[in-house]
Amino acid sequence: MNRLLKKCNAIFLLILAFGLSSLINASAIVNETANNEITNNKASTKDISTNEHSALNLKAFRASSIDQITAKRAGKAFIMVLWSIDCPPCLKEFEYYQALKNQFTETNIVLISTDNPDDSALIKQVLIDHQLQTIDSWVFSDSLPERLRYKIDPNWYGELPRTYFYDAEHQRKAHSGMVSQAQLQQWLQKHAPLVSLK
Amino acid sequence: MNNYLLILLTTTLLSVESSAAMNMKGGHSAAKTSLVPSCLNAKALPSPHCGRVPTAVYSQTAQRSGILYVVFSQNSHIYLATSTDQGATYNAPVAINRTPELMYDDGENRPKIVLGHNQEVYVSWTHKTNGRYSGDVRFSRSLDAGLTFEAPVTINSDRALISHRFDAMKLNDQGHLYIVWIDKRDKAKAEALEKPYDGSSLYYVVSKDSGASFFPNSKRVDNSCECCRIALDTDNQGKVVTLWRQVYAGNIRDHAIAYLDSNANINTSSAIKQSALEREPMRATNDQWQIEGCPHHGPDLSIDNENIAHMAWFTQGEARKGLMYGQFDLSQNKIGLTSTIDQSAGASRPQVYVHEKAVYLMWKRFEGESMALRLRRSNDGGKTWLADQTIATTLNGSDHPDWLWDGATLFATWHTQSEGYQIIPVAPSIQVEK
Repeated sequence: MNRLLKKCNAIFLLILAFGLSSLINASAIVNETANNEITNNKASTKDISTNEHSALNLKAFRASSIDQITAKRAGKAFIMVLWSIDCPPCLKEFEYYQALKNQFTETNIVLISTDNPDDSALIKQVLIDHQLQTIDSWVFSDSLPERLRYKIDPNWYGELPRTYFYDAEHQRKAHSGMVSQAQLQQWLQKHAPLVSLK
Repeated sequence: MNNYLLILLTTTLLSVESSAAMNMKGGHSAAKTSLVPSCLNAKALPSPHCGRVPTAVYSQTAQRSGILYVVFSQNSHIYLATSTDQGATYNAPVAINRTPELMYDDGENRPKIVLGHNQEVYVSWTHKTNGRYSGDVRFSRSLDAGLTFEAPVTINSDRALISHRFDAMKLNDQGHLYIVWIDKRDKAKAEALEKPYDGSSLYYVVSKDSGASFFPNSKRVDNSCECCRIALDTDNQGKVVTLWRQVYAGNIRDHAIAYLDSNANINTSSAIKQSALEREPMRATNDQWQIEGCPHHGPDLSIDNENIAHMAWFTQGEARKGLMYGQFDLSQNKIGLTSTIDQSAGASRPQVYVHEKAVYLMWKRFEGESMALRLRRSNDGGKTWLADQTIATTLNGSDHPDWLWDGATLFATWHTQSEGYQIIPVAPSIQVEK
């Protein structure tokens, strides 16, 4: 009986040890895979350094941020894009933004991630991978994200990507779902920037 | 080698949830840490207040009458906590998976608990496997009323690193245990052959020996939506019925309903005729919601004594938008009355509960500054409704609300970041208020 108990104990410890080690391995692989997924499709990511990560200023988007964003752009037209790292069509759309990146300025576009600050590293990685790191970027920072959604637009159900086209008077048009590259091109022609980002 | 290649191929192909033009995650990902003061103490025991996505059920058997069972996730464990005072205090929790594992613990994908007719406690959850959106359905049981649990087993027979997630569990009147989940194996197969395949599929298992063993995985339907929770209830014969979001032609994502077990009456007495719904799922909602991508917003289901399925769901369809309530007649196989619950953009997560002629609806509604839990009641089977009530509010993050029934009283349960796990009576002595 005693021997049986000992045997059970040993087996249990073995299972525990194996379980733990596989868990540790598992999480390592998860990270690796996550990185691969993001970096694989872009050749430009070879020289990403932690510097680039820390240089990217991902601002906390709070209830008052929308007013800050519009105040900074008083009298100017701009595009505001709501996106998430968990939204495949958003990432697809980022390829269009990447293709047009030379036409973006400090003020004519703003990107807001609806993820939460815990995801900052991943958000930055996505921005860097799409060479959008110089664009004004924010991340939802509120324990009640609905509050931010409501602040941006009480009639927005949360669908992504969500794009707002503001004219110079800040009359805006909302668009749900992907924006086509042609649509973006058109808007950019209509509101041609005077100076482009480096 | 071939298997390895297939796994490699499928993980690469399935690394995105959908090749979509839109999804619905904007501002749904609340912060994860509890703000309840007692949870900030590093020495605090795991508890339904401090953990995530608690899910509760009341024991109604003679020996265990009035004991509340709550499962929740914390620190890579699913815990069971019990309470004999309606959740005012909890006994020390039991870790169901002794080895920690990554798991899905969001409102839409949470642990499930079902009590057996004797001392059995059944628990299921989804283990997060390597890769985005991948997971395995896990199951563990206790035969001693939750004091000890057997080592968890993986339910899905397909072990590719793809999605087998959004488990749901229910016992039928014969004590057979059903587990159903959303499975991407058929999509993976199709994509390996470069064939189109919309959405995922629904797979299920049944155990007829109290969870000791399960019959092989069975496919219930092709083309389910990828990431909306599955709703289950039993009909007036005790048979398990399921309601889920289905991908119809042209990426229309409305709901389908069916008896879960398509084999239940095959090979049994020929006197038991298989109903249409046992053979084929039927469309239960017809909103014409075309959306490329999954809205992460599954339905709820509650079946009355006359076999009317009461349903609550979210849609942004051509035909109607917002939170909806509707009925489906399981005897006549047809859609019944449909009405709007709430059309505001801040309304989400509708729940429905029916008891005799009383129908209850509950949902979350953001009201500018705070999140409110709204309740609506009908005394005539859903034809007319009394005025809405707000039964709770919170200023911080919150889980999906749920129902809890102790045999006499209906409760709303709501886990909020700042208040913890709340159990709110909504209809005391429900049975005398016919």
